[in-house]
Amino acid sequence: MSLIKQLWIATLCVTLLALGGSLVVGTLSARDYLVEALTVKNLDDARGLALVLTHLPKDPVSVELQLAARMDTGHYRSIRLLDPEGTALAELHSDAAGGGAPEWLPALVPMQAPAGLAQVQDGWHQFGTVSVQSHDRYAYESLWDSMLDLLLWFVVGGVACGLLGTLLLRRILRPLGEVVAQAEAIGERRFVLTSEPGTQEFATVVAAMNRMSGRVRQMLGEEAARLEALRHQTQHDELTGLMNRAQFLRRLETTLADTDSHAGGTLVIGRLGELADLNRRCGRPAVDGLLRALGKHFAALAQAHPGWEAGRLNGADFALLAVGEDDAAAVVRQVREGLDAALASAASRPSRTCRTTAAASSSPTASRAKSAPFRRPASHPGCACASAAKCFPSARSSPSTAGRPQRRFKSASSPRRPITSVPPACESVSASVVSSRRRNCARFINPVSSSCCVWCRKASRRAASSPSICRTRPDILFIAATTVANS
Amino acid sequence: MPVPLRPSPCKPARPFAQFVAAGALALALAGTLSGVLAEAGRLEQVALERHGPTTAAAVRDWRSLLDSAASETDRLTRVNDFFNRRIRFDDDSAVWKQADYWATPLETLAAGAGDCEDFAIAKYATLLEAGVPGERLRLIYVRARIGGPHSTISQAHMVVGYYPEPSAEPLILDNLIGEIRPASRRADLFPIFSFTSAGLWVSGAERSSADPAARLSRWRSVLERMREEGFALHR
Repeated sequence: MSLIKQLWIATLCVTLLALGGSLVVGTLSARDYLVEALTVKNLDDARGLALVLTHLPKDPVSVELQLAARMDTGHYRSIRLLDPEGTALAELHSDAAGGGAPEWLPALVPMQAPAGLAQVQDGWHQFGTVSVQSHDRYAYESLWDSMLDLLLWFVVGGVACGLLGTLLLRRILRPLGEVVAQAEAIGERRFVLTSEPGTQEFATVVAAMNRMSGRVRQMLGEEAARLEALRHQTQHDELTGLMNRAQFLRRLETTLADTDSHAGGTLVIGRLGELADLNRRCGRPAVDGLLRALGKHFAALAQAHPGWEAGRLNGADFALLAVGEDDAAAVVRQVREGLDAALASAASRPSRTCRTTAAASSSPTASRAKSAPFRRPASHPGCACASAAKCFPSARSSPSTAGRPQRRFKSASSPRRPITSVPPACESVSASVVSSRRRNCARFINPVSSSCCVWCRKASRRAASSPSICRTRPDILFIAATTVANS
Repeated sequence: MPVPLRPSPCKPARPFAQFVAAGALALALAGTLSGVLAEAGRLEQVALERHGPTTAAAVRDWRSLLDSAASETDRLTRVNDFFNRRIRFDDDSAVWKQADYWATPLETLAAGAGDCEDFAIAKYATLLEAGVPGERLRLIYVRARIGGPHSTISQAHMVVGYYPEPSAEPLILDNLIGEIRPASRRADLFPIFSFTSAGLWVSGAERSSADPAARLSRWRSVLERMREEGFALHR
């Protein structure tokens, strides 16, 4: 039940109590007063009548007329004249009813005013006793009117008190509404502060709510930061900060599934060849540096073009999705452009850096000299990290891949030489990138997503007229590119 | 003599020494002797407290009037004589320093003086205390002719009338003439109006005493004061 309602009930109770009390007290005192007034009137009228009768001739007609005149013009219930023995000489009654008072009032509030008695003399002899009883109707009427007045005033007073109390209560309870609004705002992650009201009890609540608001804000902020960190951690590669494989594929799928916008583009995949070998030869920190540099390079590319996405698919594979860019060769060119500088920066680190990376895009002789510290015994296949040429022949001659997809991948962007063979990197990506023999295109197979296949077909159609898949090999970084489009 | 309704100049009665008046209750009506003595004792106590030992002694004397063994005629005579002898007639203006004052019997005894209505009231109240039924007693306003049978001088006066029977001729207790005579032998008095205390205590003495309106009427006022002093008048 609302406070307002309770207030009204309390007001009603108090009003009723006060009304009842006042009614009883007021009625009783009014009754006493009226009885007293009636008594005095009875006495005085009886004396006056007796005085008149004493000096009148005592013949019955005169006496009767005197009494009747008094009776008819006055307000009497009865006037009686008794002789000294007690027998009635004359008796007049009036049963006039009427007046506004209800019939039950006399029964509820009995008013017994004694009759006024006075002696009538006839000379020295007693003539009789006059008994005068005034009518009490007008007394009851007056009592009834005063009761109605009291009731009216109490109704007015009660309503006024209730209204006043309601206004006051609303004013007092306003802080409560503000606290509720504050609580709802907290629920909506708006952390407002409420000014403290004058009422001490509410001030305590409001202060506590304000403190809570602040604490919740702080707590939620911390939680959000932690969650964001966690999300970033699960979606991004720890080393390079690029998207991880799952996230990148999701992004790719989303891009292709978006039917509203132009969702075509070029997908570039780059692989750092012989990663395990590099690790072994150059050490993990150096290779990590190299990977970081590559990642930064891809990230910079993605950053420079709105809509482009870069990711690290697994240890050695980087991917770039150039949304809206149909010219695969151009994309590959861009990838290549900054690559030398990026790799050079990695190589120039003061740490024990594998110079192989630098050599990847520079001349074999220079890189050979620079990467001397990493030279490994020649007996190891592809061991010479100083020479990209030496690193990759083994890959090129890999029986598992030689001669298979090479016909379908035309060199699109390598400025030095066309790719004539598919490196093993291509094979290792084959889980993701395979070729379609008949349609002369690349196809990404995502075992869990059929939408990818649809895209593939579309891609193959679109790729029919132009080189759709480009593959470059900047010494140690194999780059494959294909245009993609949604259906 | 300019007195309209008020019986002021009444003839002085023979002054007598001590008086008694005490609120002994009417023995005839009071149930037990101890109750009567208690009431009378109270009146004496009031007299002692308010007016001193002389008045208290007067009240003791007054109590001897209340002997219910005597006949009513004897009681009338004793009461009439008692007041006529003990109380000196004097005007209210001299005794009470007021134009008109209705004194209670105790006040009259204490003052040792009073005017005609003080005599009448004291006799009336004492007779009631002595057990004379109220319906046989009347206080009567009379026009008194003074100065002989052929005088034309009249004055307002008040006497007590005693009616042995309701329709009988009354006996007049007066202070102008010390002897009690029947009304027919009082050619000098002409009755104007009579009244009693009947009907004033219909709803009980207690309520009436708290009734402020009672003070507005001289008659009711003096009755109230008598009751306060210890008279049992509600009969």
